[in-house]
Amino acid sequence: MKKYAAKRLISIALFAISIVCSNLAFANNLEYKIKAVLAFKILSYIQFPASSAGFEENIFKIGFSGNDAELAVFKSLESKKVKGRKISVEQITSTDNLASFSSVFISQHSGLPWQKVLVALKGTSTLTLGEADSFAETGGIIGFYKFQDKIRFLINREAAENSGLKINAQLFRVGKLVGN
Amino acid sequence: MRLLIIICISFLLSFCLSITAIAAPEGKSPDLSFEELETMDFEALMNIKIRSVSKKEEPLADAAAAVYVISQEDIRRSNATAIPELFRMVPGMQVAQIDSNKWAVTSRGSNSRFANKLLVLIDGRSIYTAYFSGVFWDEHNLVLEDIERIEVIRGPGGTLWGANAVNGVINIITKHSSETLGGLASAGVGSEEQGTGTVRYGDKLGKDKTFRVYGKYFNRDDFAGKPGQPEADSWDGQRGGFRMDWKKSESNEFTFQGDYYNGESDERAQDNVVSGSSTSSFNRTVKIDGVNFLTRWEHKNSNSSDMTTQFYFDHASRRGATTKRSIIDTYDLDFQHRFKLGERQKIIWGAGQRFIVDSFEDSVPIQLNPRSRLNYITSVFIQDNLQILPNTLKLTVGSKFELNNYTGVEVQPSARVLWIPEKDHSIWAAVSRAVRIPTRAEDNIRINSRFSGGNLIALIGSDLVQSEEVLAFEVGYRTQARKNIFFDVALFYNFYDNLQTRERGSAFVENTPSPTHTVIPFIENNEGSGKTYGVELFGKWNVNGNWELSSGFTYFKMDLDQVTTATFVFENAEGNDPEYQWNIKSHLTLPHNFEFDTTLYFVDSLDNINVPSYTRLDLRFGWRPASSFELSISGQNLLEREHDEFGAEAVQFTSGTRVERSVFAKATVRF
Repeated sequence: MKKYAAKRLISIALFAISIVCSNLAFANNLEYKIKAVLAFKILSYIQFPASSAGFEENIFKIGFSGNDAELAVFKSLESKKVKGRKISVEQITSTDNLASFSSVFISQHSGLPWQKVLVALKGTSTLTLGEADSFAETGGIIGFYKFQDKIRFLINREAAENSGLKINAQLFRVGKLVGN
Repeated sequence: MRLLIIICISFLLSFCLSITAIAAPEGKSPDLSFEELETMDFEALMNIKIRSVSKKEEPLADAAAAVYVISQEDIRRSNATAIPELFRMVPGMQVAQIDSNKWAVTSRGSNSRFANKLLVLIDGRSIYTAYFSGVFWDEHNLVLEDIERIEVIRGPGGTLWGANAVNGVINIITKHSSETLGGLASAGVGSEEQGTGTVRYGDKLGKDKTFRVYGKYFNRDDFAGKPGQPEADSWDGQRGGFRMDWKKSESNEFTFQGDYYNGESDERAQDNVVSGSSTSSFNRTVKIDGVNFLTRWEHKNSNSSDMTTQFYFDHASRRGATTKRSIIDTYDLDFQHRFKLGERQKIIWGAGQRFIVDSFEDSVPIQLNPRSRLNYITSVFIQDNLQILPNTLKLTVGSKFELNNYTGVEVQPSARVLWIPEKDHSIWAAVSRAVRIPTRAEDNIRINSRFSGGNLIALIGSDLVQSEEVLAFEVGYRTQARKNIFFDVALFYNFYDNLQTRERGSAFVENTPSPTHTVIPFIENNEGSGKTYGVELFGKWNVNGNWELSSGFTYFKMDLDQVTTATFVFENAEGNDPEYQWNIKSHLTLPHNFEFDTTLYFVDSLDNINVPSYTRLDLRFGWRPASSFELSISGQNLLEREHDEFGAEAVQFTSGTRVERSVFAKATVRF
């Protein structure tokens, strides 16, 4: 009975501890933080041709089209490198000169129609990432989507190959291939 | 020597074939800062989220518990054709195949076919049988391709999951129907798995609904009989089912799913009673069938509050075992509410009601009185997840309160602390209490075990039986030592009380079964106590982008005490679990979409049931020429022609058989 009493006491004590409160907020733009980190990780699984933008200058330019808060999140990548190439992130506001970017991310809040961006980048070796419905199915290379409040991504292998980009097979383990 | 050569060849082959690529980072890190997210791998960011430990999803490194997640990729690249086989890769799990259709599976000890301290759920539906306790694994031969992930939590989980989650919880989570659009057909043939086929089709229904339907057939050959016994344990069956998900709005989603299955599980059985004083062995077929239906409503009140309401019905029937027929119908309603309280507390609370209606047909060896009965469990729980120091120190405390018709009120509290002293390192500790409530059998069964010197030895249930209890202390450490190296260690020390024993009662005389005889009864009781302790290690090294090595090690020790002196030697159960286990797993992705996977297991001897230690090698060679087509050939138990993994099982008088070497080829097409 003593054992019982002791255990019940522990039970009540543990439960009582749960009646506590206080501070501190969590970051709220988690979705774009995750997408920025995923985009950064995805880059390391892609082999860009030597003829791609910024290769000789040893910089990796990411064009970003979205709102300022999202841009600020993606700017966090600027301290990092992709295969030795230093990342720079720039806001893009038009479809002019997009081929100077190694990669372009089109947010769902972008003022630029993503279809026009894809047309402008056709034939270049720029990696396209987006989050619109059917982005990857319609020619984008990486399409983010939400599944049960989790971020996933689609890979359009054919679009990547058409752009001269080689995707490491490991990426197919975590992303879903278009049409699969 | 042969073993050494094969191991060397396998791993040398892996090494030689490995090609340099980009290192893939490994999963890790808690909450939500950019820097912390950056240290996580893809799976941690996207898929490897833990629902079970806190009953809401969170990254692995946020879990203050010993957690292992088996991903769909792990399943695809394993040699497993049945779910219990998957648990071999998990440190701290004890898995042994009894015959071709039966497994003994547990976590942290007390293994048997009816390992009764491990709770198993499929999409939140408990498959822990209310008859004997434990899991009839032959009723749950799921389509492995439909599983999204399996979360294995070692250690008590009673605070959230309630009674019977004493030594662990397994949560099998199937894919959302939007993840299985299109068709899938697979067919396999092998020396043991002689024929298996699955067809699945999924599609959209309008803009907001998706569904899938599936059918599966399988036919397994007998294993080798024990010495002097014939083959006896073939297994075949079929199952079909559906799942539909309806995202009615941004804040409301409904799920409907169900399965039907039937099959025949053959086995070698013994009779010690009907035949008189001698033991007779014979082959028999156990016919199983069942149906289940589950519906779930997930409602989001706001970004900081959501609710889940779930109902399921489960019907399971078995005919032809020593219990001539058992039917168990379960009705379960469960509600959970998660919300933020202030800026740094997350609360989850819920309530549940379960009714279990059973019905049994007696045999001479086994009777239940009454033959049919209604049982219930009513529960409420609350848990608080408190950030004491943001992103550094987290406390999770809570308790479950259950009312059941066997033992009355049960309280199962726990307190867990997670400390992240610096990036890439997390340390956790937990103390928890959990109980296993008695089952129908312990309460009402009579098992006529055997005649001994003209007396009948009988095991008799008792309504005085109490819940078995554990008070568990755990600590663990996880680190992303380098970008491509992950390491996890967990230590535990469990104190058990009220463990099930069988104490000798007063002898009496009866006329049936004839001739008139004296019954020496052994009554179900709770006079046992003891402790277990151990250490579980897991490490993963992504050698390069195409080669991944992982390894697990388990040391487990059980030390039981028995208060009274009964003939049934309670302490023998110490010898049902291996003291040492380890495994090494290699996943190698080769050019042109070839895959070569190797797993080596060592399992120490089981002294109580005379199973010697064994080493087991499984190989798999796969080819995915396109994302829609896959071929694989695999071999299991390649080091020996046959070996024992477990012994006879006394409750239903089955003998067990010997696991054989096998090969298996499989083709999968998606369209």
